[in-house]
Amino acid sequence: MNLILIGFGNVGRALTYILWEKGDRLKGLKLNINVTGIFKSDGGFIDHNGLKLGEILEKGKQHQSWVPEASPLSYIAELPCDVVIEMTPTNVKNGEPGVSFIRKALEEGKDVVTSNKGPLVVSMKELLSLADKKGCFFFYEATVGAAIPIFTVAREFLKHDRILCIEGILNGTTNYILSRMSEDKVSFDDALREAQEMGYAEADPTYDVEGIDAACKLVILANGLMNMNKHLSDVEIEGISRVTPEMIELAEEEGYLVKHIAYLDEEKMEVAPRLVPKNSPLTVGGTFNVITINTELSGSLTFIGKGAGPRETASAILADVITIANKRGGIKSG
Amino acid sequence: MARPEGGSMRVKIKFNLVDEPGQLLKALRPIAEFGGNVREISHLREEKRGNMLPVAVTFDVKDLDQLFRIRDAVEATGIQVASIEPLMEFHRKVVIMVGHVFATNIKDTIDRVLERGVMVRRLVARIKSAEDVSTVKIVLEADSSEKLESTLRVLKKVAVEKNLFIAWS
Ligand SMILES: NC(=O)c1ccc[n+]([C@@H]2O[C@H](COP(=O)([O-])OP(=O)(O)OC[C@H]3O[C@@H](n4cnc5c(N)ncnc54)[C@H](OP(=O)(O)O)[C@@H]3O)[C@@H](O)[C@H]2O)c1
Repeated sequence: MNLILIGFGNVGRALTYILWEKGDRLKGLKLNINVTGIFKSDGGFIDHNGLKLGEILEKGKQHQSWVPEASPLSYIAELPCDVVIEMTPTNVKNGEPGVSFIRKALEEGKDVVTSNKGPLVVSMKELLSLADKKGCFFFYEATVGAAIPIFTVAREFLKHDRILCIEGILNGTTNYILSRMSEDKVSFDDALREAQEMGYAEADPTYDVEGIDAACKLVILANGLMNMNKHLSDVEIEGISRVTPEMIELAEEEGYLVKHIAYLDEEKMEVAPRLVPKNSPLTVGGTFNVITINTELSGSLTFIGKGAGPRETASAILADVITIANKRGGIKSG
Repeated sequence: MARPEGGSMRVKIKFNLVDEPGQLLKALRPIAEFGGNVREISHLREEKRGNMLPVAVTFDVKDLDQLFRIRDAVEATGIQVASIEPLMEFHRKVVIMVGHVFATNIKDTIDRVLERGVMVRRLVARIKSAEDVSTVKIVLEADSSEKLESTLRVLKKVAVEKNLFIAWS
């Protein structure tokens, strides 16, 4: 199975590392993975016969396979490739560059796996129907809750059922901040600074703290699990930057924790600070994410896991790749 | 019997007590023990028959299971339960507001959001100084969860208008 990787940042590197380090385990699954291209913003590593991943991780652009200025758009059709893995930065305004890469891959009849929310928030329906038209798989498990296999569970195990509503904590940074404020009486500003120092929050934490990241994920859940056609503008969003220690204290006196909850049903999409009973499964701490889906037949199902992290995200991507390999009957040549 | 989060019911239970000291306490103990929340106690002196004094206790429970556990425990003490009367089902919502809650006229805020059948059970405020934002908790109760939801919808609008930040249960 031949792969092209677009993006060689935190996630792209982690995936490359896992493919290299766990090569034997993958062979045990009768999966022979070959990476023929890995692209960055200013060029790519290219080898029609398969890249030497260990060497690339070590040498970077010094490696002989590096081709400056090489763009995935011109290589997707040319290189041996079954699955294109898209891991460029999230852009929720127009989805680029991800949208163009995914569109090109699907038009060339390649299966696609992505960890990038941007293209889904902007053009999910268009891309899914293009995939459908071309008979391609387009999976995006890594975009919500990293390694929490929410879309896979729905796709494989809940075909007979109907999801009525979904709620959860979809952003690890805000959950870390609220947990620290509540457990250790740290102020919002200090908790945010800590989250940045520990690498959970971006230098510009607005997307996390103001609830936009969680809202993007809620849109992907709505469209992916409940067959809706929603956009970011459909979500009512309130961030957590105005949560005070007093608010947390007053909530605790009633047996509640303040949590940043994303909620979705047929009528409403909302991300807001909520008072959650202390014994609720939604009260996970630290950087954890949690997703509860309420279904017509299976009742309520709750998933908890690390919501981010290069390794966890890469693991979800690899799981999607393996699913595709299985559905394609093992190895399809490029 | 499961009830929606925050839901609860109020019941009035009538006991026939022997009219002597300590009896009432004996009847109340199981209520407290099993988590019932006592609201009112009345001695029905005019209904007294011989040495038996009927006493009505009104309390809140989460669900029927809890109510039956309380009834069984009371009866196990030898006290006779004459009747159980459901008074109403009530629902609770806690809302916490942060902002210039007082400077933006809290009375107006509450008047505008409260509709018939919704009441403020409790209001707790944390105020640092006149310039600082304050944090105010209101505990709302109503006989239906729909009324609480519609109260919340109005409150969200008022909060936007008055630049208040809110979190709710
Ligand atoms: N990190 C996580 O824990 C996590 C979790 C879930 C989802 N995600 C999502 O996964 C994606 C990747 O995240 P990341 O943390 O790996 O981001 P990152 O470290 O910023 O890496 C992005 C990569 O994309 C490359 N790139 C940018 N523009 C490109 C272009 N036009 N053509 C080719 N390559 C281009 C960059 O190239 P250069 O190397 O030249 O800069 C870089 O290698 C993002 O959409 C992110 O939201 C990340």
